[in-house]
Amino acid sequence: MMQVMRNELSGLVVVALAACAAALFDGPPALRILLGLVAVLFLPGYALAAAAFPNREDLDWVSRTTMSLALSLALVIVLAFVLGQSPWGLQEAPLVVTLTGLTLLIAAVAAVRRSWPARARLIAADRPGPWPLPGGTTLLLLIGLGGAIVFGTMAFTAIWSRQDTPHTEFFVVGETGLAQDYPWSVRPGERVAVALGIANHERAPAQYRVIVEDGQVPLAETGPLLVEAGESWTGSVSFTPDRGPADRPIDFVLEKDGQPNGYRHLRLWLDVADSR
Amino acid sequence: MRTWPAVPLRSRPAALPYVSAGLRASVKDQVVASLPIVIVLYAIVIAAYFVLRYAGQWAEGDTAAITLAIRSMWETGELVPHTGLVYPSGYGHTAVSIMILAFTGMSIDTLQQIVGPLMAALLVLPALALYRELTSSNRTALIAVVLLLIQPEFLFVVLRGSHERTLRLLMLMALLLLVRSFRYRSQPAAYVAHVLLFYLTVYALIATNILFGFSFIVAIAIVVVTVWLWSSWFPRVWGGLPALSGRLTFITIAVLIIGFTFIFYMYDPAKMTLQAFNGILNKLAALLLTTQATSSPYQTVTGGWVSLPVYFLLSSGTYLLILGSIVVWARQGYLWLRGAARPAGPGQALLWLLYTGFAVQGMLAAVSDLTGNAMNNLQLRSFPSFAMLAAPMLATGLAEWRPWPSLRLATGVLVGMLAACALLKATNDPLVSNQWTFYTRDEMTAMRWVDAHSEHTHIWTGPNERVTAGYSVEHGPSLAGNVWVGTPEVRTVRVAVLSDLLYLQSVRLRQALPPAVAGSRVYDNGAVQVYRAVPTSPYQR
Repeated sequence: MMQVMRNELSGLVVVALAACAAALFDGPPALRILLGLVAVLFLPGYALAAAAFPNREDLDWVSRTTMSLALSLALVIVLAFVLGQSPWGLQEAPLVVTLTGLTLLIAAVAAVRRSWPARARLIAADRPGPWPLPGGTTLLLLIGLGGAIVFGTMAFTAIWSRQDTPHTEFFVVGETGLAQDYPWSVRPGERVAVALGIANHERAPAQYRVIVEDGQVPLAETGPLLVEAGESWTGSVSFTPDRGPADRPIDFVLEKDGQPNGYRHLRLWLDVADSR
Repeated sequence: MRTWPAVPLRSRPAALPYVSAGLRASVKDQVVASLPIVIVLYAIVIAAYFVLRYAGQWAEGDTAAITLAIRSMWETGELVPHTGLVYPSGYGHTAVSIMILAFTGMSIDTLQQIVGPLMAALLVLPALALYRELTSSNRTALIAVVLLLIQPEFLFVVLRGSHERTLRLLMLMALLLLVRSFRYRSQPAAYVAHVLLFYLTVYALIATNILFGFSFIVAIAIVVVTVWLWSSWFPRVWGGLPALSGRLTFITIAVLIIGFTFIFYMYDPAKMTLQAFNGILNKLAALLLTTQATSSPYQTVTGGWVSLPVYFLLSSGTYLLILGSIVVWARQGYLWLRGAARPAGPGQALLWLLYTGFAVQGMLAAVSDLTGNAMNNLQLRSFPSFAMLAAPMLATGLAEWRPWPSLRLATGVLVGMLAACALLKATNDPLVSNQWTFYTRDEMTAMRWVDAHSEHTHIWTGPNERVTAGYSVEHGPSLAGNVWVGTPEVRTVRVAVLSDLLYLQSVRLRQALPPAVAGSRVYDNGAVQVYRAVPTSPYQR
C-alpha cells in the first residue's frame, strides 16, 4: 500500500482536498482559481483513467491528458444530474463536497487496481509510438510560458481592463424617478421643476454647477455642488420658460470644476402650449 | 588585453564540429517531443488574442443566452431552474460551468469572457490524440491539428462562451474511445473499459446538446449504411468491414436509447428541442414543389462582412480544407475500391467513413437551410464537426507530400496568412466585420442606468446585439421587464441608447437611427447618451 501511496495518486488526493478546502473556506482568489480549475477539469478524469487503465504504460501523456479532461467533464455532467435530483440540489457546498468525494473514491479504486500484482498491459501493435515528453528544462520552460500567457491574460483583463474609466453621469428623471413622465407641455410663465442627478465616478471629489438655458438665455442655476468620489447628488431645479416658439429645447449644462463649455449636456423638449 | 581572432564568415563550418551526431539527434528528439506543447502554446496565444483584442469585453447572442442559463442554474441551484432562462437542448455545459464557479469563486462574466476562451486551448491535446489514432502517424496528427486551428468557423465556436467547447471536447473523446476500442477487441478488460467510457462520454455529449447528439447518431447511421453498401458490393475492400458494421449498428441503437431516455425521462426541457423538427417535411415539400422566391439563410452571413471578396478571402482556409479533403477522400476511396490499396487499419477506415458521414450530414443541412426551418444556418453549425474530420483527411494527403524547399516556404507563408485570416474572422474584427462583438465600459454604465430607470419599456440599443449581449453577460436579464430592440423602425421604441460606436455601427450597416434620438436627451456620461421620444399625446409617457 505504501508503494501505491507513493505514486501520483497521493498528489491527486492532496490537490483535490486543497481545492475543496480553498472553495469551502474562501481561500485566496488566485490559488482558489488555480486549484479549482484543476479539481474540476482534470482530477476526476485522471482518477477515472487511472482506474480504467492502471498501468502507466497503457496511455502516453497525450492520451492520458485527453482522457483526464474529457472524462472530468463527463463525470461532472453525470454528478450534476444526480445532485439535481437530490434534496441538496446544485448548491455551492454540495457541488464541491460531492465532486471531491467522487474524485477520492475513484482514486481509491485506481490505487487498488494499481496494487494488483498481475494486471494485463494493453498491447496494440499497430498504433503509433507513444509521444515522449520533452526533457525537464524544455518542459518547464514551455509550461512556464503557457502559464505566464494564461495568467497574464486573466490578470490584465480581470483586474485592469474591467475598471470603469473616470466619468460623471448626469441625468434627468421624471416625477416617478424613472426616465419617463417628464414635463412636456407647459403654459408660458408656468414654473417647471425637474429632478436632476449627478453621479461622480471620477475617482476624486469634484465640484459641479448646473445651468438651465433656453437657447442662449439662462433660466436657472444650481451650485456649486461638491460631490465626493463614488457619491451621487440628486436634487430638483426649477425654471420658468418665457414666451417663444411652441416646441423648444431646454438645455441643462453641467460644468465641472469651473471648466467652461460644459462637461455634460441634457436637453428636454417643451411644448409651451399658449404661445401658439 | 586578450582579443579573439576574427573568424571569416566563409570559413565557418556548416555545423559545429564538436556537436556529435548523438547530441544532434537528442536535440531533434527534444524538438519533436516539444511539438504538441508548442501547438498548445499556439492555441493559448490564439485564445489570449481573442480575449485581449477587446480587453475581455466581448459578447454575442449565444454567449449571452448560455450565460443567462448558467446564471439561473447557479442562482436557483436547480437542474431545470424554475425562474430565468433554461437551455432546452441540454444541461451539460451549464453544469460544468456552475461546478467551476463553485470551486473557483470567480464571477460568471469572468468565466464566460476570459477563462472560457483560454480553456479552448485544451482542445489541442484531444484532437492530437484522436488524429494520431485515426491516421496512425504522429506527424499527420500534428499537421491535422494545425489545419484545424486555421479554421475560423471552428475557432469562433470554441472560443466564444457557448456549449460548443464542452461539446467538441466530448466529441473528440467519444471518437477517440471508439477508434481505440477496435484496437483492443482481443483484450476483454481494456475493451470493456473503452466501451463503458465511450457510453459515459456519449451520455455527456447528449446531455450537453441533444441536437448534436442526434447529429452524432445520424453520422454513425450514415457510416453504417456506407459500410453495409461497401460490404455488399465490394466485399474484398477490407476484411474488417462486417465487424465494423455490426459494432456501429449496435452503437447507433444504444445511442438512440440514451437519447430517448434523456429527452423523455431525464431532462424535460429537451422535448422543446423536438419542436424544431416540426413541419420540416412540409417546408421541404414547399421548397421542392413551389417556384416562389424565399429569403436566403446565407444573406445574413455574407452581409456580416465589409464586402463579399473580403468574406471569401477570410473563408479561404475553409474552402481549401473542403476542396483538399474531398480530393484526398475521393482518391483514397477510389484506390480502395479498385483494390490498389487497403485501409491501414480500423482508424483509417473509420476516418474515411466518418468523413463521409459528416459530409453527407453537411449536405442535408444545406437542404434544411433552404427549407427555412427554425434552426437557420444549420450548415454553418454543422461545419465544425465536418472540419474536425476533414482536417485529418487532408493531413493524410499532405503528410505524403514532399515539396521543394521554396514551395515549403511558400506553404508556410500561406498557412501563416490563413491563420491571420482565421483570427480576424473568429474575432469579428471591425476591420473586416460588420457584426461587431465588443463593447465599452461607458456603454455598460449607460445600460445599467437605463435599465434601472425604465420599466417595461422597449429600448433601442443598437443595430446588433453586442451591447445587450454584453449587459446580459455582465449583469443578467433586465429585472424591470425592459425589452432590448435592434430594429429602429419599431414604433413602440420610445427610448434609445446612443454612443459614438453605435452611431458608427449603424452607418456601417446602413441602418437608420430610431426617431427617439431626435427627442429629449435624458442621460449623458460623456461617451453615451440616452434619448426619450417626446410624447405626442397625453396618453404617452
